Amino acid sequence: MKNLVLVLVLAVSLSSVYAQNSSYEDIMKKNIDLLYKASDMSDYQKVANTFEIVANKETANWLPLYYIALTKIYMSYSAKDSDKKDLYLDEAQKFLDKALALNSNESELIVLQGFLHQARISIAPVSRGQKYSGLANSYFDKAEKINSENPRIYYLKGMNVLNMPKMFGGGKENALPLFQKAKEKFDKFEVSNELYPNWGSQGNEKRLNYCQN
Amino acid sequence: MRRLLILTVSFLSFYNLNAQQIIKGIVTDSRGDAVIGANIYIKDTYIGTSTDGLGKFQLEINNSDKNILIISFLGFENFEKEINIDILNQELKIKLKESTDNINAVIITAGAFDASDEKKSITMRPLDIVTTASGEGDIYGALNTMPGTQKVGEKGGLFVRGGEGYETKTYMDGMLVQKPYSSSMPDDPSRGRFSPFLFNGTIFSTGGYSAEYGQALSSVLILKTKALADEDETEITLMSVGASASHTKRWKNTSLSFIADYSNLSPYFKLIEQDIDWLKSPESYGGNLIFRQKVNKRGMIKTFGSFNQSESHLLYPNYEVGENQLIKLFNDNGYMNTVYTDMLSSKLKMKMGFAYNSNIDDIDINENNVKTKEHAGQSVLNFKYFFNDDYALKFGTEIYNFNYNQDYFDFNSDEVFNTNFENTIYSSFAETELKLSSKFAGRIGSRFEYSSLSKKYNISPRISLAVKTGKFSQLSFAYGIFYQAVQNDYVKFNNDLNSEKATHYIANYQLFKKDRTFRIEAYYKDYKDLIKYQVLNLPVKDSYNNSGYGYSKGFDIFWRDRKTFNLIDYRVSYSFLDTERDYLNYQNAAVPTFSSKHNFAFVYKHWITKLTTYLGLTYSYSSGRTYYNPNNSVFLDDITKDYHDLSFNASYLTTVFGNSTIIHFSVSNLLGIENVYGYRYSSQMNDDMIFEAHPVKPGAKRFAVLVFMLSIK
Repeated sequence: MKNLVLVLVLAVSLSSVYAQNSSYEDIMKKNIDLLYKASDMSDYQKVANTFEIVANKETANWLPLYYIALTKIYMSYSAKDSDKKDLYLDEAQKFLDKALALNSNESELIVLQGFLHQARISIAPVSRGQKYSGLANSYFDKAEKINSENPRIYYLKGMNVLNMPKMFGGGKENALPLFQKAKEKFDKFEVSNELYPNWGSQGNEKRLNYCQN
Repeated sequence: MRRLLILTVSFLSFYNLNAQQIIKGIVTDSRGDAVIGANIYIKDTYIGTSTDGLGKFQLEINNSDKNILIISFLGFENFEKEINIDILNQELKIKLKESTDNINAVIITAGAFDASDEKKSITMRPLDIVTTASGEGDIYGALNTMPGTQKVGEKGGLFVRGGEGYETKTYMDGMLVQKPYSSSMPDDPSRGRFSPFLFNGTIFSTGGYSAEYGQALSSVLILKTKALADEDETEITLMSVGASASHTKRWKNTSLSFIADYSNLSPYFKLIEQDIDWLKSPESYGGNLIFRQKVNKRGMIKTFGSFNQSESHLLYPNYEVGENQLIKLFNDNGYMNTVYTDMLSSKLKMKMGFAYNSNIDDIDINENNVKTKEHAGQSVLNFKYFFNDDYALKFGTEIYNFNYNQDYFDFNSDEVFNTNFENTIYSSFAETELKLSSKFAGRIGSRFEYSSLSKKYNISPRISLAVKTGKFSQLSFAYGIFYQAVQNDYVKFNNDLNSEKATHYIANYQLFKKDRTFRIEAYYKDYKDLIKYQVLNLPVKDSYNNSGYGYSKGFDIFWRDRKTFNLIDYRVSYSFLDTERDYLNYQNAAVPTFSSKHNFAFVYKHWITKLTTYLGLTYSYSSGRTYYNPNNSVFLDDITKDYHDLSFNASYLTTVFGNSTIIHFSVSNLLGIENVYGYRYSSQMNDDMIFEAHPVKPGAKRFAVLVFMLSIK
C-alpha cells in the first residue's frame, strides 16, 4: 500500500516535469485531446491558453493558430452573453487571419473561416442570417475547390442548411444529403499527421441520426 | 517503510527546489476581482499554466535565467516581467490593466447615437431602418423615432432639439451632402435621397459633436458606407410606387455596384384619393454608382455617385395670395464623392476626400419661373496620429466652395431678376482624443472657419468628457460652439451677414447592459445671430440682419430592450422641449411653429420564426404646435391639436427560385386620425370679419406601400 503511494507520488511529479519539458508534438497532441474532451468554459480557456503559448513560440506554423481560433469559436458557442460571443469570435478572427497569412491555401483554414462566419449567425439570426450564411457558404465552396475530400466542408454546410428556416431551403430533408456526404468523406478521411484537424465526425453522426428521424 | 516514504518525498521536494523553481501568485483586475483563466507562461517556451477560479496560479520553471513571465487575458493589456530571485520567493500580486479597446471601456456618448456597431443596442442599421414602422423605408423617417427629434409632417427632414430642419447636416463618409432630401412641393414632406441599404452604420448626433464637423447648428447625421461588397449580387425591387434594380460585382480587391431606380406615384394616387390636386404625380428616376478599391493592406478608396431627376405638377390653393397656383417642380440633382483612407505609418492615419454637389430646382408658379442652380465642391484632408493606445491627435483642413445662381422670371413685367453669390469657406480643426484610464476619456478640440464672402472668421471650441460610473454605466458631458452659414434665401440679398451661432451644453447618463440600454440626456442650447427680416424676398440688403436669438432646453429619454422578451425588440423615446426664438419675421420671441413640447415614440419589432416575418409597430405622439393666427393679436398664441400616429409594417422573408426575397408591406395611421400640422389663413377677411383658417394636412389619411425585393446571388 505504502509502496503504491510512493509510486503514485513519483509518477505525478515525474509527469508534471515531463509535461513542462515536452516537445511541440507532445504538447499539441495532449492539448488537442483536451480540446475535444473540453466541456466547459474553463476547460476551453486553459486549452486556448496552451495553444497560444505554442503559437507564440512556433511563429511560422499555422496549426497552433488554427486550434486557437477553433477553440475560441467553441467558446463563443458556449458563452452566454451575446457581447462575449462576438468578442470571442473577434479574437478567433485575429488568430485565423495570422494563420491565413502563413498559409492562405489550406482548405482547413478556409473551412474554419466559414465556420467562424456561421458562428456569427446564432448571435443575431434575424439580422445576420442572410449575410453570414452566404459568407459561410462562399468559404465552404472555396475550400471544396482546394480539397473536395475535406469532410468538414459538408458537415458544416449541412449545419448551415439545418439551421436555416424551411422557407429558405433549410430543414432536415435538405440537410440530410450533406450529412450523408460528410459521413462518406469522414469514413475515408486520413490525416497526414496526428496534429492535423480531425474533428466533426461524431457531431456529423449525431446530426445524421437527427435528420433521419 | 514510513521513513522511506518521508525521505523520498522530502528528497523530491528538495530536488524541486534545486532544479525547479516555483512562481506563484494571484491575478486580479484593477478592481481587485480575480481574473479566471488568464494565460501565464514563460516567453519562448512551452511552459505555462492558467489561473484557477480564484485567480491563483503556480508555475514550475527549470531555470530562472533571463526568463520573462507573460500574463495575458482577453480585454487586458499583456503583463510582462523578467523573472529574478525576488519574485520567486513570494506570492506575486498582479493587477492587469484593462485594455482601452475593451468593449466596456468608456466612450464619449454625449449627444451621439453611435450605431455603427451592431453589437451596441442603439442601432440604426439598414434592417433597423426598414423595419421601423412609420419610417416608410426612409433613413430620416426612421430617425424621427429617436429622442431629440421632432415630427414636422408637412416638411420632412430632421428637426433636432428646437432647431430648424436646415440645422441638421448629413455627411457621407465624412463628406458633406448638400441636398440629402428630395425637392418637394409645399406641404408635401421630402424624403431622403439615399437608400438605407447603402450604409452599414449611422451616427446620429443631436449635439456636442466633434470639431471635425462644421456648418451645422444643431445636429449631424454621419452615414458610413459599406466597404467592399461581400459578393456578386443582383437585386430587383418592385414597389407599388416604382421599381429599382442593382448589380454588384466583386473582384478580389475591388467591387462595383450600379443601381437604377424609378418611382411614380400616379397609380397609387389614382387608387387612393388625395386631398392634393396633383396634375402630374411625383415621378423620378435616378442612378447610383458605387466603387470600392482596396489599396495595399489598409488603404481603401471609396467612390459614390448619384444622379436623380424628378418632376411633379399640382394646383396649390395659396390662401395667403388668395388664388389657386399652378406649380410645376422640376429637380435635377447630382452628387459624387471620393474618399481615400490609409495608414501612412503604423501611427498615422490619413483621409483625403473630394465631393461635388449640383442641384437645379426649376419651378413654374403660374406663368412665373424660378430657376435655382447650386453647385458645391468640397475637399478635405484629415490626419489622425496615434501617440499610443490612449492618446491621439486629429487634425485636418477643408475647402468648401459654394455657388448660387437664381433667375426669377416675372411674367407681368417680362423681366428676369438674377441673384447670385459665391462663398468659399476655408476651415481647419485640431482635436485630441485621450483616455486617462479605462474610466475617463476626453475629447478637446477647436475648429476655425473663414468665409470669403462675409470676410469673417469663427472659432468654435468643442469639449466632451466621459466618466465611467460603474461597470455598465457612464456619465458624459459636452460643450461646444457651432456656426452655420446663413441660408441662401438671405445671403443672396445680403452678403455681409454673419454665420448663425449655437452654443450647446449637454449632460448624459447611460446604462448599457446586455442588449438593454437606458439613456437620459439634458441639454441647453443658446442661439445667437439668427436671421431677422421684415418682409421675405425683399431685395434690399439692409432689411436682413443678424439680430435674431433664441434658446432651447429640455431632456431626452431613451430605452431599448432586446433581451426581456424573446425575439422582441422595442424602444421607447420621450423628449421634453422648452424653446423660444425671435427670428425671421417674428413679432417677438415665441415658440416656433415647428416645435412641440412633448414628443414620444414607441417602436416595437417582433420576429415570428414560424412565418419568417418581421412585424413592426410604431406609435408616435407629438403635442400641438404653434401657428400664426391673424385673428389673434398675440403672436403665435394658438396651438394645433396633438398628433398621433400608429403605423404598421410587415416583412416576410422567403425564397423565390432559391433566391432570398423580402415582401414588405407598410401602412401609416392605422387608426385613421385626422392629423393637422398647422393652419394657413386667407389674406382677405370674410363676411364675418375674420380671416378664414385652412388646415395643413397630409395628402391622405394613410399611406401604404408594398415592396417586393429579390436578391440573386
